[in-house]
Amino acid sequence: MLFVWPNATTQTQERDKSSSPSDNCLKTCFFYMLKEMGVSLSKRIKSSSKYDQKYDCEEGITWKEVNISEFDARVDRVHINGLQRTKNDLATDCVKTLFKAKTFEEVIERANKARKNFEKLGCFRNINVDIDINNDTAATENGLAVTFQLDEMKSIIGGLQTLIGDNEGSLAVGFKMPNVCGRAEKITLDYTHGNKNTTCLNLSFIKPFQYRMSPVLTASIFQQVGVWPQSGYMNKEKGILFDVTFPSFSKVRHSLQYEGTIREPSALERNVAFEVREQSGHHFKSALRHVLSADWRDACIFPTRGLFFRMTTEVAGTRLLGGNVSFLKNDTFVQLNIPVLEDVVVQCSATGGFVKPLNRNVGILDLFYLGGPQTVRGFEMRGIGPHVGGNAIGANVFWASAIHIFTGLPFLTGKGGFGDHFRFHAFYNVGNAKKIDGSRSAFENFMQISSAYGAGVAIRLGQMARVEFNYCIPVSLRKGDVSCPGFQFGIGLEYL
Amino acid sequence: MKLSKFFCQIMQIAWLSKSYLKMCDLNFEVEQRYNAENMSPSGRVPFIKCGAFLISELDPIISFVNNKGISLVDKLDSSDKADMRAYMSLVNTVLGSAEMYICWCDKTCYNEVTKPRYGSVYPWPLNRYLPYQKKQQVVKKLAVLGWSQKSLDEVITIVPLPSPVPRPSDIDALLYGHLYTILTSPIPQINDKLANIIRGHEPLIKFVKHMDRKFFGRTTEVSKEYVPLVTEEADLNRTPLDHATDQQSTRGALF
Repeated sequence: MLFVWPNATTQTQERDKSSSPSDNCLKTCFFYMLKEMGVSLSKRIKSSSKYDQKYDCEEGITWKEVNISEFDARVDRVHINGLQRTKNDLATDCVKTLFKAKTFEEVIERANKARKNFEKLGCFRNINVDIDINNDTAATENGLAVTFQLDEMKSIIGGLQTLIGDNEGSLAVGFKMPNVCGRAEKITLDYTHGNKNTTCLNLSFIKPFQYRMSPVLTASIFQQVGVWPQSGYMNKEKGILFDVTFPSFSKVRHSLQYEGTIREPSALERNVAFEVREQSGHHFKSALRHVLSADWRDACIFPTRGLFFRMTTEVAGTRLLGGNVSFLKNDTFVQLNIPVLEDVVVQCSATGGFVKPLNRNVGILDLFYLGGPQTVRGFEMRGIGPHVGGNAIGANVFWASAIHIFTGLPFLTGKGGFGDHFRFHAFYNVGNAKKIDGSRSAFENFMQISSAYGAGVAIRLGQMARVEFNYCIPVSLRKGDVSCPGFQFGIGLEYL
Repeated sequence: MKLSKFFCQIMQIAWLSKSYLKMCDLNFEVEQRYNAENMSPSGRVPFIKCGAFLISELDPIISFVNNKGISLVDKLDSSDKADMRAYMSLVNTVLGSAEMYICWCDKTCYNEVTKPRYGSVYPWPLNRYLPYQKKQQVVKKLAVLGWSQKSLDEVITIVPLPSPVPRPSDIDALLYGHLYTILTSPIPQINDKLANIIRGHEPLIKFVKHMDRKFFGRTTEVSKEYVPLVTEEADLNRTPLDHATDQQSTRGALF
């Protein structure tokens, strides 16, 4: 990293008062450089600086180019102020990376990393980092002292927020208790109500561990009600979920989950198909799930390059697990983004899955449904797959694929600003979902496709969600499919 | 007319409708499903599926069958029909509530028979949770009728027999269903007071045996030795073994 450095030596903040203009200019430049890297100097230094945060200083200063990676530096001391209920070992774990720094550039990078470690804990409101010369009697030649000024969050925080779900917006009211026992444990209680009459009450306990892989354990108890008018049923669930998530090499993450849920589907109306009505009643699902995900994209919502991969495997109801719901399920999602021109990205995605019954038939709650603005556009939600009496009854095998071309809107080009939240895209998506019984004709039917093409505008909401307005033209339909030609609106987290 | 499917549940309430359909000479299949109560449009069993139609509970089933042109009481005049309907309603309310009380509110019967039977079709933890949930619902419903505060002895009432009709009618199906259920349910003997009272009335036993033979072609053992009803406090703590000893001494006395 190359910076233009005025010809002056480093000074400590105690010598500020009698400093010459050239020394003050040094501090100004130093401050500006650190600001670029996300590390700030202490308020005392900032307030004593009489100059603006500009790169140019007074006249009469000679400049020379230096490389700060050539400056030897060593972190002698790290001070952490502001800890109240947080345990000391948790804080020291976050900052111990600083002691490995050998050059000044490394000190700044590692200080930034330490600050991100503190942010990741989720216990602190403000984190300020001060880097200064070490004035101790035991100071080494290039010794630095780094001070972290932390502001802990309150014990209980309440909140009201909006959430985006599958083609649904929700309002969530809740409160959380961050850093309950001093090691970044968190307890959250949320009540969510969606515009499609889904409600969810969730109590969670989250504990990150400081072991080698930094696993995070989440235990939650939930109760939720979901309504699926396309299939004609309403589902009430009460259950517990245990999740251990840990990163592996590169950007691969594993999630091991156990879910024990008492589910009660019930028919919404009197004239619902009998295949849906006969699944009413109580079921207990006891399942183990493994989610393997790897995200090598440069962004979550409008990526320009990279690959995303996720595979979910679930086994429920064997003799070991219990319950009266029994199946083996797998589904996979892959997305590849290729930048073609400066603002043009080609995105290819594919997904597929199967569910195999183990001891008994798989119920409608566990089968696959395809169709809708987030899977195969141009079809109604749950519009592809077996239907009986106008109700979608689910498929045991499905596949779908899409190809998009994303560009920026023509009149809102350029990085930064409002235009970054919008993208124009043209797409072609295909898919099929069938109840396969292993026969040859069933397999041949499965390779027939339902497809649609179209174009539209996608809008980013925050960092996680996306809204799409598309105009769709269905091309081929299978018997029983419910298409949605014309304008289609979608809101959600993940799209095909 | 062929009725395609007929769903019943483990509590044998279906004998009401099965007997009615047999009496109407209609073909049907019985399917036992553990979730029949949840499948039913009204939440009660039994219910029938005839093509796309779903009809639950005996009265609507009778109306549905009548609409198709089959009736057991078409020869009765309207005032007799009204009396019969009123009587059926009374039998349903009284005998039905008594059965529910014995199954769900009587502790011994609940713990020994109802809870294991109701939960047997579900895995853990549903086999513990669902009987409890059902019991709360039944107790609440009986409280509305004023039954939940009664003791077992107060609940034992007998419904007077109707006047005879020339051929089997709807009320016979209803009475047969209730009486057969009461007489053949495996309730612990010490609590089987309602069955004992019914067994003490010979015409009722004859009626049940006659219906069994005529419409189901079988002979079910319903008339066990009549055991006199014991009403003293001390006897409520007795075990079935004590009760068996009593029977021997009674036989001895009759001999």
